[in-house]
Order: sequence, then structure tokens, then C-alpha cells
Amino acid sequence: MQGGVNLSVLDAVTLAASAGECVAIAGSSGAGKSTLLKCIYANYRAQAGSVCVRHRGGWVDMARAQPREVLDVRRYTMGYVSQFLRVIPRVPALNIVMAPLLAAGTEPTMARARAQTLLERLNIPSRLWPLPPATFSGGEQQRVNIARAFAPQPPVMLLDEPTAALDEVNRSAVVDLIRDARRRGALLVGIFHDHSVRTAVATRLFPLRPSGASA
Amino acid sequence: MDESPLLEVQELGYSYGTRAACAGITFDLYPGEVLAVVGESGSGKTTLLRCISGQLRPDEGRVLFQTRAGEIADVWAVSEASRRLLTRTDWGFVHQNPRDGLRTDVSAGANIGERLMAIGARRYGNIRQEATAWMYKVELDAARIDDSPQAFSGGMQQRLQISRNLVSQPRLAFMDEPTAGLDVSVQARLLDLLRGLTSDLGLSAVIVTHDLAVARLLAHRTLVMQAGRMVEAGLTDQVLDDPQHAYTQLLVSSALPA
Ligand SMILES: Nc1ncnc2c1ncn2[C@@H]1O[C@H](COP(=O)(O)OP(=O)(O)OP(=O)(O)O)[C@@H](O)[C@H]1O
Ligand SMILES: Nc1ncnc2c1ncn2[C@@H]1O[C@H](COP(=O)(O)OP(=O)(O)OP(=O)(O)O)[C@@H](O)[C@H]1O
Ligand SMILES: [Mg+2]
Ligand SMILES: [Mg+2]
Repeated sequence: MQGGVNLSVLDAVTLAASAGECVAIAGSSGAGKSTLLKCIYANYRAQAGSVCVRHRGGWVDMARAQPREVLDVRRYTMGYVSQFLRVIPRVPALNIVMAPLLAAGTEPTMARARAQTLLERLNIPSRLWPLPPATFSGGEQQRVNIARAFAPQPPVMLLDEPTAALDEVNRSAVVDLIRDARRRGALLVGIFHDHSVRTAVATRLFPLRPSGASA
Repeated sequence: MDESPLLEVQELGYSYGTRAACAGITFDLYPGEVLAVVGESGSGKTTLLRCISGQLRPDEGRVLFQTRAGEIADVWAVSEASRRLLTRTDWGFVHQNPRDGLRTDVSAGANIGERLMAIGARRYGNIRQEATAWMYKVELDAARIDDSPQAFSGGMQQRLQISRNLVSQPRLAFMDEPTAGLDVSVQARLLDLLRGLTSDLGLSAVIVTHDLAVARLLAHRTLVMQAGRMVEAGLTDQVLDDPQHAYTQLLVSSALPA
């Protein structure tokens, strides 16, 4: 099996998920949904429990792994769509989307083709590709962010409200990307505020209550 | 994943007289990795960088470097000549003050070419062409290739110093505040250049910076110094988003939003 995750954080939250699933984390504002994703990505260090991810044929505990291991997991196994794009200014959108592919060793011509396909699917007009996203609209920046995360097709993807800044057309483009990822056997764990998006992509709900209450 | 570190720093310490400028510093750096060193003024960052790059002999600890041949060199145990060879071939050093890293008695082009000649380049035409290419990369006007660096502004000198150090394709670059004093547009160009060199050519770097945004965009890992001690170290995004030490929390919360 590829792309399994096991974790118990945030007051003994336990979640086990496997390839081909799309788990939607649900809960009120402040319940800890984003915190949970950040603990899985090892952006925050879980104080107790473990976050075990299938990686290179073994299991890595993201809560305890060495920085280098965490980086290796992020490079080859786990992608993350943050709510905002954070990049070096002056780097063209196309290069931003290509970067994770190049880092994982994809040949440049293939990386370029894959990046172009994604930007196209996310309705970023080609005149914007050679431009740095600093002057793009919020929704355009977010779509570059999504393209970058989906480009390397990681076995595990974490999504924190990926469609929050998007209109109907682009929301459905993202829904299609998520479905494609699931079909090729990826595991997705996400926070989807938009009900129609959640219904369209989730294979199961994972309710999270504010800490204090039992999960 | 199973490769060995390029640089290993073990329990390093240095004192100016009786005042410890840095103490108990331990970390390693793997090929292709970028480490940022952050911390307040006077916390010992420059001292640390000089100790690990063969310029200032530490009072305590060891610095191990893996050479091109795959051998481990104990930087402060090998001969002066071997250390100088490493400085010329495997390392680059960008000084906090560009004047410390440039020769003011020769032209800008010669400053870049000198490092190439040190590693064996001989054909004048090639050297000049390389120098021009590097001036272009850091957005210096190539028409000024024959000017003295003294005629350059501070930010231009900084970029010249960076070209001079990277032209010879070192495996490890030590940089002390490389983007300080540059306007934001040039700074962005430089960050992109450095990122390209590390991700595409496998350059490793230790970068001292007071700018947390630079650390975030460039460094895989970040080491936080306070009063000569390492108070926190880890993945850059962990250190900046989930700081554990009170000093790091203060540092992060005092920074202007990136
Ligand atoms: N870096 C942090 N430092 C301190 N507290 C934090 C940090 N990140 C999150 N929190 C707190 O943890 C709790 C959970 O936050 P989290 O962002 O996970 O909520 P959420 O479920 O994603 O909410 P929303 O739906 O509003 O995005 C909140 O009380 C928040 O203030
Ligand atoms: N040559 C020297 N003789 C005596 N003390 C020195 C010398 N150089 C540095 N120091 C002292 O050692 C301490 C560390 O200095 P260092 O230059 O390493 O700091 P830094 O972290 O690089 O600071 P900055 O961010 O201001 O460049 C400071 O207290 C400084 O005053
Ligand atoms: Mg949230
Ligand atoms: Mg200094």
C-alpha cells in the first residue's frame, strides 16, 4: 500500500486513512482543523502521539523524524496546499509550478509540460505564465499554489481550504484535480468549507471537536 | 537519503579574550542543503561563520568537511596549505562588509576572474566571458567590467562579491548577510539565483541573515542564536511557525509580515 497515514494528535485524535481516500476534516472554527493538517505536514511539531506516513517502503513518524527525513517526505510523498502562496518575488508562475518537479528529479521538458497542463486546467491564461504572481488576483495566486502542489502527484496531499478564494468554474476545476488524484491512488486529507466541494470529493468525514471535548 | 554530511560542526566555541562569542555549537549540513543562522546583533553569527570556514581558529570543538574525493577533512587539524586549498576550490565566502571580500586594486572583471584562475582557468577570453555572464546574473552592468570596485555602490559591491565567490562553483558557500543593503528587486533576483544554484547544482550554503523572510524562502533549516548559544534549530517552517524557545518567539513576533 502507498500513501497511508496514521496519527493521534490534538488531545488524542486518531485517524487512519489509506490510498484512494479523500478524508474531509470537519469542525467549527478554531476546532483545530488547520492545526491537525500542520501536524501531519510537520509544520507544527505534535507534542504527543505520532503521525506515521508510508514513505520509501517504510513508515516515517513525522512528529519525531529528523529534519532531513521530513524534507524527503515532503519532496516525494506528501504535498500541502496552503491558503496563501508564499514565493520568491520575481519568479515566473510557470517556474514556481515546475520547481517541485525539478526538485524531485523530473526532466525539465517534462516538468514544463506538466506545469503548463496544470495551469491550463486551472484556467490561468498563458499570458500570465511568464509573470511573477505578485500582481495576480487572490484567486489566480491560489490556483498557482494549487498547481504547484498537484504538479508532482504526491501519494499524500493535504489541502487547507483550497477553494476558498475561487469562483464556481475554478472550484470545479479543483474538484476534478482532486478526483483524478484519488483515481491514481493518492490519499487526500482536506478542509473544505464549501459544501458542494466537500460532497463532490470526500469519501468520508472526520469530525473534530474543540479540545476538551472527546473525539 | 543515506549520503553523509558535507559539513559537521561539533561543540564549537570561540572567545575574544575572556568573552565567549559563541559556545557549544553543533550542527550538520548535507549536500544541497541551505542553513540559515539568525539571531540578534552581537549574538556571534559572524564569529561562528568565520570559525567554520577556516578563517578563525576556534578555541573548542571540531569542524569536519567532506572533500570532493569523499574524504573527511578536520578543517582545523589539516595543514594551512590544505585549508587554503579548500578555501580556493570548495568554498565561497561572502563577507558582511563587501570591501572585506573584494580586491580594490584590480577591476571588477578581474575580481571575478581571479577565482577562476585560482582553480586553473587560463584562457583570457573564457575568463572574461564568464565574468560578463556572472555580472549579468546579478544584474550588474557588464559595461563596467573594467571599473574598479571602488567606483561601485555598496549594493553593487555586494553583488560583485557574490559573483566572485560563486563563479568557481564552490560546493559550499558561507554568506554573511548577503542580501543586506540591496534594494528589494535586486534582493529577489539574488534569492532566485541562490535558490537555483542550490536546487539545480546542489550548492550547499550557510547563510547568516537578520531577515526571517530570507530564511523562509531560502533555507531548509534554521538555527537561532542568542548570546553565543544555539537556542533553537530545526526545519525553517517549524522554527518560524511553531517556535519553541522564548527568544525565537520574540524574534518571530517582532518581524514585519513577509
Ligand atoms: N501558531 C499558533 N500559536 C498559537 N495558537 C495557535 C496557533 N495556530 C493555531 N492556534 C490556535 O489553535 C486553535 C485551533 O486553530 P486552527 O487554525 O487549527 O483552527 P481551524 O479549525 O482550522 O479553524 P478555522 O475553521 O477558523 O480555520 C485556535 O484556538 C487557534 O487560535
Ligand atoms: N575582533 C573582536 N574583538 C573583540 N570582540 C569581538 C570581536 N569581534 C566580535 N566581537 C564580539 O563578539 C560578539 C559576537 O560578534 P559577532 O560579530 O559574531 O556578532 P554577529 O552575530 O555577527 O552580529 P551582527 O548581526 O551585528 O553582525 C559581539 O559581542 C562582538 O562585540
Ligand atoms: Mg483553518
Ligand atoms: Mg555579523
